[in-house]
Amino acid sequence: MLKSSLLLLAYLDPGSGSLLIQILLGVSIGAAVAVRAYWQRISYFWQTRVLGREITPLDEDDDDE
Amino acid sequence: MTSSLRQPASFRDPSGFLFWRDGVLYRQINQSYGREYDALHSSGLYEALRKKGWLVAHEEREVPPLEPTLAYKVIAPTPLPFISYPYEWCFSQLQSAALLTLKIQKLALKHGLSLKDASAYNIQFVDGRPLLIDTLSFGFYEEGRPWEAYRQFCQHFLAPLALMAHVDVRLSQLLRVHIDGIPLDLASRLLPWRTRLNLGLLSHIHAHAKAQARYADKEVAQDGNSRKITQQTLLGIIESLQTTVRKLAWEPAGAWADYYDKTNYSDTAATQKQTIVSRWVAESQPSMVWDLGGNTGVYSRLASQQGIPTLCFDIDPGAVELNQRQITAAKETNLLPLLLDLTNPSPSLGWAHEERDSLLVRQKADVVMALALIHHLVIGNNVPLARVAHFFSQLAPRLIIEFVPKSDSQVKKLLASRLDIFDDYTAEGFEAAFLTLFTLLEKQSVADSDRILYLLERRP
Repeated sequence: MLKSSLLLLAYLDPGSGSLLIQILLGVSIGAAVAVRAYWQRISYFWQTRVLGREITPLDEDDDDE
Repeated sequence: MTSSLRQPASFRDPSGFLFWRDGVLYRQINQSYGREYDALHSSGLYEALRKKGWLVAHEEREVPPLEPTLAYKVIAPTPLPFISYPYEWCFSQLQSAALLTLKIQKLALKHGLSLKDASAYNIQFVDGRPLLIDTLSFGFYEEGRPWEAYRQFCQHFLAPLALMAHVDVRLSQLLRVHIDGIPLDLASRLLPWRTRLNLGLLSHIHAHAKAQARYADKEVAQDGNSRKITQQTLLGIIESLQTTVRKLAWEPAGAWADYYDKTNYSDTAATQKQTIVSRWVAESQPSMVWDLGGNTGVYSRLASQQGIPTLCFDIDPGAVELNQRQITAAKETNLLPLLLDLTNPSPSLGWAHEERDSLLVRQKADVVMALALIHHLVIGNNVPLARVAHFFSQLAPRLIIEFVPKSDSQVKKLLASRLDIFDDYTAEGFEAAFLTLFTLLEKQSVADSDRILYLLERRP
């Protein structure tokens, strides 16, 4: 079942190992992403509410041309 | 009468294909890709990518499709000055192409779409910046799915970049052998052990290669692992790839970097040479100039700064790298530095020798410059003068070439450790070889040296 949903748009063979490693990496990276998201929220709250600073979120993908 | 020709490299993706008609390049979009193509526009992704200059622009055209039974629409992409390949790029070109691919994937996910391929051949360089040229690379994103193009991204971008950064920059040439990117087990074996301490390379190359070996030929669905990936996690993987790619670095160092500061000219000679070359380029009114052995592009810029699309080829990855960095820093336009060994130029590669074109069958130049190059070919590589003349006559109708005689210190260096078997390597011998294939338009001696500049035109 997963196979059919995994391969919905692939015309190339994505490779079983290459799909599964993402699921495995996802566990650790997912945890890191969650921690970072909470940290950013705390940091944003601290900067804006406690220190009263104005913060414009950066889109770093536009930044590294 | 109209003449139509399907682009031979465009056959793997059933979503559509490129074709030429009366000199114009079109892309047929097949009905099977109609929904995705419409979503690319209706989601706002096309407009966002176009505004950022990340995706080649196109216009829908009411022209008859090449295969009407399959056709949904026909589009005309903005023409590109030249198609180059990843094995002709320097480190920072491949790195910026990799980062563009990841940025596009992140933006696509925000619009409910996802890159269904991540081929380095889908990226081209225009005015110093990478550009995605495959409009049909997007498919619908479905929450829970991993990235189908992850393997291709790692093979086409991450593995060569890691090998260039951690082993040897010349390993980019593995891309010429492995047309679908460097196999990850090979990359993993070639990379030094210490790269396992780099979390990104450990995950995306070493563990990835192990997973490929372990799960080869096994069906994903039958593996008992039905976990899915949230979009947030998928973005985490993309960002991890971004960080890994950004941290890879390569510096042209030592002999390479020093070499470019050393020239064999007095200031007067250099200025005079630049004035002559600049005038000859302007008078030739070319639509494209190739500078062979162009080093870091000093003379290429005499053409590109006149607004002429110019390619600067050099055999030295350090020279190409420094040239590209200068273009990026100054936001220069019209100049593309590429890696090329003239004694073994890029061949035709891939299925039926038609997927990747040899240098000779791609977009042609009107003017070729070969300055301070002839001695490297004739004396450094034993190519007879007549053969150099013949090859150059195939490249462009006009040639700006410098003859560097044996009295020159650079030629003396080449002859220092070998027998001088080059009796015909004289100005007279040079003229005898070249003027059988070319007409002499102008000849100028370079001040303070024995070098001679020639402006030649190919005989009809």
